[in-house]
Amino acid sequence: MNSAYFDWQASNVGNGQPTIVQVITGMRTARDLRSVLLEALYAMDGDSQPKNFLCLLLGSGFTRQRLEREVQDLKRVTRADLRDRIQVVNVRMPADLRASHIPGVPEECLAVLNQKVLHALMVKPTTSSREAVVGQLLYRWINRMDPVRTAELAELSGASLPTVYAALKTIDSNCLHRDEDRRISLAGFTADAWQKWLALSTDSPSVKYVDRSGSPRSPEKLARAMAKLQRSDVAVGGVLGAMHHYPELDITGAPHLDIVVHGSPSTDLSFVAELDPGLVRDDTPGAYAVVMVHFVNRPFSLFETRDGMVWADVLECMVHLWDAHLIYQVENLIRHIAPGGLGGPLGD
Amino acid sequence: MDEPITPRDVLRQVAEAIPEALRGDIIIVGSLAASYQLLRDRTQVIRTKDVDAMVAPYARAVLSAVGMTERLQDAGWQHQAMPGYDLPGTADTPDNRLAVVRLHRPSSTTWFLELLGAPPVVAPQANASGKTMYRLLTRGGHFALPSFAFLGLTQFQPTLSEFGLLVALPQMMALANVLHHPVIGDAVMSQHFAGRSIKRANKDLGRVVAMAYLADLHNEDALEGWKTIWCQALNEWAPTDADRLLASASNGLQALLASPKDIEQALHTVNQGLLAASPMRPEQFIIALRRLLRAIA
Repeated sequence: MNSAYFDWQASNVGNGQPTIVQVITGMRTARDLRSVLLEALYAMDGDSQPKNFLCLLLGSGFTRQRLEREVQDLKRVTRADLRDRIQVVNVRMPADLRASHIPGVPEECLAVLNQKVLHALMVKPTTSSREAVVGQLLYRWINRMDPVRTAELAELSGASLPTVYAALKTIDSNCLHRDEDRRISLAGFTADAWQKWLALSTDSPSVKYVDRSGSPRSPEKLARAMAKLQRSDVAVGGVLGAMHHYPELDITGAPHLDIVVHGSPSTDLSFVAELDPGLVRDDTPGAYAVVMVHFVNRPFSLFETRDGMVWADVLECMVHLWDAHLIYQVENLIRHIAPGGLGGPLGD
Repeated sequence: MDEPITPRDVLRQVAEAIPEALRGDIIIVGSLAASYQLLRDRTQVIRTKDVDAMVAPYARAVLSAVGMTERLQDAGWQHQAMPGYDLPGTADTPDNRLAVVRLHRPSSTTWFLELLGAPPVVAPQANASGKTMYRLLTRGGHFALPSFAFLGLTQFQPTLSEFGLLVALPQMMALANVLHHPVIGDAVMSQHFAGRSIKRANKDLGRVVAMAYLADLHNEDALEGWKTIWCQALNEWAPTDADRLLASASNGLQALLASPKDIEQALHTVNQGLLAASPMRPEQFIIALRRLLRAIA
């Protein structure tokens, strides 16, 4: 199941309120549907500005009767002010979308909606988490970037608006700043918050490759081999990446090569075998990895290309250090990049 | 099974037996040279009988070979008889029955010193091995000095050992072998290898892979320099054929990679020889072969 979303402002439609459109392809279970709608309801309830929610299912496995029953069951237990703003539409493909599916929507608005749906489907499928949202705020904070609105934050992090709202709730209110235009930025990040974010971020799926040659390549050599592939969607992370961002990092060498792929875990990883014939995928728990592959599934990779090498962003590298239990080096890195440094020590 | 010997001990013994004035005319090639250059542990033993010494340069190879043979004969070194060859040869012995100079020390038959000659050119005619032979007229009789065209490449930048003998670079021995075997030919070695009949190409190409493996163990970037130095050597020793030879250098190795039966033979030879102390697994052999092919592509 893949999901994409966007804000749709059609002032001449219905109550004139903006609509959050979530496009979902391949939904198969009622549990997934309930989860999506529940997250939307929570977000709508917590939002100071009332919004509509249009859930557009493409190629789902629901019959019309089954879908109606599921939506009605949910609306029956939902407050009236929320349930009247929720719509679920099930079509085979975007071209099948008709005005009759969304009462009150004129044809000209439908054409715009159709274009937005197609655009949303063309961008990389994302299933970004709350950690990704917080990570995006952290990225903007350490790079002294301007505050952003929630919709923009959702777009940047590749998360749904409900996920964005849920993520913002996890941040200590003292660390979150909203300006007069309701734009959001971080005002700080405690050691405890760093630790929680790192712990959650290391939970993401990764893939391991071991050496079968008996003479494993060094991470540096593998990184050079990766640069020769000239791919912009794979980057060097981990210790090597962290050393690129902060050459004074207190570490002598990388235990393995961390590769970051801009895509989902279903991305074709055959390029790893091109780095060295001795590499073989082995995801068993005890396997000693020579290469670890991680995935960033947001719309913007935040990769940086310099002198032919593609580097993952410093926060992604930091997550890999944490995953390798290089706690001292993580502290080292935070002190270097975070405005105000690090409030206290991190625990493992 | 051959007795294990230490490369440095053998080199020292050879150096002691050769007059100082002639030492510079010998380039040690073959398994002893590979062991000396590539085995990290200086006390590590190898299993070899032949110590191949190429007499160079070509212009005085015959003269130097005669001088060395007579010096060793005078010191009591003994010729090794070979079935089908006259020992010693006389003026009446036809060329094809002349024995090569194959000598062992008076006190030991652990290893033999075998003399080869530098070729006049290193690029043979198409479809020819480039093998030639010169007759040596020594006080102890007539002998053959065989010469192989591609082996002449070992004259490129040999290493001067601490014993005063020149030792061929592994890259040059590898180049000679890959050029000699652009395909896995059917020719088998004249003698069994560790109890088995082995194709000559598998033994020689297997050694190339083993040398690449050992070089890579020392330095993971070592193989990246092989193609460059091959190019330099060919431009120096076979300038008109350098591009053609370099382009064909990987053919035999590609053929080996495609043939599991030949890989098995090649692995058998290296695990019984150069890598006797730490044999490779089949998977390691294939990875080493793939790494080499990538490096020289």
